[in-house]
Formats: sequence, structure tokens, C-alpha cells
Amino acid sequence: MEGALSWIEHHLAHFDPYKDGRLSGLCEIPLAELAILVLSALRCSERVRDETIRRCLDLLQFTYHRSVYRERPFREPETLVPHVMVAAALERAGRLSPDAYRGRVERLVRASTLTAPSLPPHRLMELRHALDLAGVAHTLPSYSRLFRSTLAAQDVNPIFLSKAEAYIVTHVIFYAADLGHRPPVGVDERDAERLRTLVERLLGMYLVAGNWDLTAELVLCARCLRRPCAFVDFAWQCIADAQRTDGAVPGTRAHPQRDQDPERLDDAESDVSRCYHTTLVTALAAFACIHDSSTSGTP
Amino acid sequence: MRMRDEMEAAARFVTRVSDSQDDDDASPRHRLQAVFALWLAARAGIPFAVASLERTAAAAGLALERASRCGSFDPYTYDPRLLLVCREAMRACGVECAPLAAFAGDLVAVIQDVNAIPRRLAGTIALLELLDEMPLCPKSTARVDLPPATESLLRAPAPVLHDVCNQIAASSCFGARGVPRATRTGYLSTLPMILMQKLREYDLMLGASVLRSLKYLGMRDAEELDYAREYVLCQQQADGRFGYYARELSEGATLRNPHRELYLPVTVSMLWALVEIETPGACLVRD
Repeated sequence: MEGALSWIEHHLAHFDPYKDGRLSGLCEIPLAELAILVLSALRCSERVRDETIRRCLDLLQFTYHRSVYRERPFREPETLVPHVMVAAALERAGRLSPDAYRGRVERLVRASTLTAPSLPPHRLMELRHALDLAGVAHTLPSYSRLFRSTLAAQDVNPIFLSKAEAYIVTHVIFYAADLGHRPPVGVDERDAERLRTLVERLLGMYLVAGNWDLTAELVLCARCLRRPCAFVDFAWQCIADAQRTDGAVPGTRAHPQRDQDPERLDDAESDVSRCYHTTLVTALAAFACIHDSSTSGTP
Repeated sequence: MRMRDEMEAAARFVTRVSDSQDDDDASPRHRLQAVFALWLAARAGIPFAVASLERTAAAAGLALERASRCGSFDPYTYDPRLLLVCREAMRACGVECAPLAAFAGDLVAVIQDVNAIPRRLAGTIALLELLDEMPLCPKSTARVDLPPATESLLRAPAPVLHDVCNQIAASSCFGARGVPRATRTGYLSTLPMILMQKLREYDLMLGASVLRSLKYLGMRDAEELDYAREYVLCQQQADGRFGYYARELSEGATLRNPHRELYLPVTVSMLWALVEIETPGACLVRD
């Protein structure tokens, strides 16, 4: 956790969608992911690296108040979710008044096609989760109804599950359980038990594959489901072993030889691109575990 | 028994490929693979295998004698377990193959001469004993001391996993003898994950090995086995072979005869795994 947060703090510029003056390739997504991390830190029962979280909030606030950023969802409503996540983090930190955005966002949600069922079910669930976090009124179906339409509600053979589909499963669990901050909503006992088994199998498979990104996501899923899951301790051990001395946890496209020596990186920017998500998800999973253990007494 | 049609189709493919005469130099190896596959499939009661085994065994015996006479058969370039099972299969069909008998005799002599048995030979020794080629060997303790597995097995590279599968086969005498519960536990929690991921990575040979290992460890009626079975059956082509390898073949794998050099061993391996997990009481050799 310490190493991952330290690395993120040293590479905050990467999360700025306008760091080179123009919108970056990944657009607002890394910034929204940073907002999710900040929200988890703010909601965690233990304070960890307050100064790092304050610097992350500074970036969120600075970016949010750039008109070119703030106006984007009103011109392109499909970009609303990442914006709402940033607003929710700022509001939670007391850096943004809900009056500053909620009414206009509610109008946009009502008037646009965002809530029309043209989005895949897991995307609708993501939208609902973001709007709920920001306290934005909407008419989206219940979590239960949305969940039942997702891939995660189906009996699936894990061998056939692609990586993209594994991410859909993990994200549906994140939205239902508010990233571990509540028991999964809209998921009945039978589905929760089935998902626990699926998460355990996928965790075992991605440990075999050495994919630390999905490993960290699945560790977080295990926390979200609040059920015992094999391989979690071993997964943490593997992630810790893979973590570099500079705190980065290499992603699936990282280079093993260069990963051992960050000084020798020939392309620092692409290295950050490869590592940022895995490092961030690792920190997110660690926050959920710290929160969980301090509130439930589990180690 | 489920999957009779699929096993029958695989047996037909194996026989067809090993029978064709366009590559005589390599034929003993492929004929032996066919004998091995048909022997297994016949034990599962697959009609085509039952009907074809004798003819295939006789043809393999002749090919081997011929290769031996002209010096092109070196048994030490083969998996000894393949040769021993084929010798047993051929004898059961009334075919006495001198080169295989000589190899078995040499092997027994060597084993009785050494002080400590290397772990990698444990499976071979178990087979020699089961096939009554040699008396029970007090030195072959490697067979029974399968070390317990931990979660670190999930990170083991493929050669280590192959070695683990061989040790499980040796320790259980290819499923003929039980493995202690305390030893089984760690394997039964990790190997199903390895099985699913290796199949996902399209390492069908290793997948088949792990599938057999799980059967030797006594795994039954597990969802992971159903998933693997479902996936494996989706990899069978219309002509009975297993594997869709057009990508590897177009990306530079230069094989003179892909049917024999690639599809045949994969299909034999898959057929072996299917016979083991689908046939109640099926064993490579009886204890």
C-alpha cells in the first residue's frame, strides 16, 4: 500500500487528462480511477498517507475547475461517469459543493439517452453506481434488475471467459458492493455464493497466468463478497513479490527485465502507462482490506 | 459412458495417421503412439479400437523389427513408459516384439544395478512392477513419497508441472493405488486452477496431463472437470483430431507432417485423458 501510493504520488501528472495541453489518449479514465482511489481512502476507517491523498485531491480539484474538462460531459454525455466520480470524490472531501453540479447533471441524465437501455448492462450498473455516489437523482432500474442482465449473473465456464469478460465480472461486483463499502446489493445469497466460487477460480487462474492486474481486482472482489476465498493470502504475497522497489506493480504488458530496475527505463511514460492501473487497483484492494479488518476485526 | 463418439473419432484419426505410408523413417514412433491410444480406447470398450488394435499392434511390431534391424530404432529416445505399455499391449495381441523385450530387459538390469532410483524414473519403475517385468523394487521409494503441494504450485513453470504430473502418476501407479488424503489436499486445490488456465492458454498437452493427474488423485464429479471436458470437446475437429493449430503452423512452426508431429501426440494425450476420466475403473495398467 505504502509503495503503491508513493509511486502514484510521484506520477500524478500521468492522471491529468490535459497534461500536454490536449486531451490524452485515455481521456478522463485515469483521473476517474484516481478519484475512486481517493474515495476509498476517504471512506476507509484508517487514515493512510494523508498527504498523498491531499495531493491527489489537489489534482482532481485543479482539473475539475478547468472549463475544458468541466464542460465535456454536457457536450458529450457519454463521458459523464468519469466526471461524476471526480465530483463525488471532491464533494466527499468537502472541496466541491453539490449545488455546483448536481442540478445540471440531473437535468443532463433526464434529458439525454444515458439511461436508455442502449448501454450494456454492466455499463448501466456503472452509471447507477456513479450517480448514487454523487447523490444524483435518476430513474435507472434497481441493482437487482441490472445485475440479473449482466454476465456475472450467468453460470459461466471460466476457461472460456476472456480477460475482457473477467473484467466485466469484477466490475459488476465492485458496483454492487460499492467497492467493498457495503455488502453486495441486488445479489441474492445463491448468486453471492456462486460468484465467490467463480472469483476463487478466476483468482487461481490469473495467479497461474501471472496477471497481477486481474489478481488485484479479484482480491478486491473477494473482499466485496465478504466470503472466505482461497488464494487471497498467496495473491498478496505474489503481488508483493512483483512490486518493484519504486512501488509500481507491473501490469500485464510490462517488461520483466526492465521492471527490476526502474533507473534503466528507456521509456518512462510508457512504463507509467503499463503500471498505473495495476498499482492503483493494488492500492484500492489494500484500502478495502484495511477498512474491512478494522471494522470487522478480521485480519 | 459419455463421449463414446468423440473417443471413437479420435481413435480413428490416430489409426489413420499412423497407418499412412508416406513417411517410413518416422513410422515406428507414430505406430507405437497409435498402439498406445488404441490399447487405452479398447480398455474403454470403444468398438473401433477393439477391432483395430490387433492389426495396428502387428503392424507396429513389424515396423519396429525392421527399424531395429537397420539400426534406426533407439529406444532411449522414447518415453520408456510408452514402450512398456506398448509391449504389454502387443503381447496381449499375441505380438512378441524382440526390440521391446530387449529394452525392458536392459531397463530392469540397469535399475537393479543402481543404488538410488532417480525420482524421474519412479513412474517407469511402477510400470515395470505392474507389468511383472521385475519384482517389487525396495529401492523405488520415490514412488510413494509424493511431496505435499502448497499454493506456490500455481506459479510453477510448465516443466515443473509436467514433473509433478509424472510424480503423481508414479505415486498412484497411474491411478491403480490411492494417494494419502493429507498429500492429496494441496494438489486438489491448486491443480484444477492450473488445469483451467493451461487449457485457456491452449497448452493442451499439459492440460491433458493435469486432467489425468486429477483423476489419479481421486477427483470425481467436480465442476472443474466438467468445465475442462466441455472445453476439450470443443477442440476436437470433424476428423477426430484434437487442437486447432493453424495459427502456430502459419506463424513459423515448420513440421514435415503436422498430422503426425503435432496433432497425433495431442490427440493421443487427449484420448488418454478422456478414457481415464470417462471410464469407470479405467486404468493404464491393472495393479
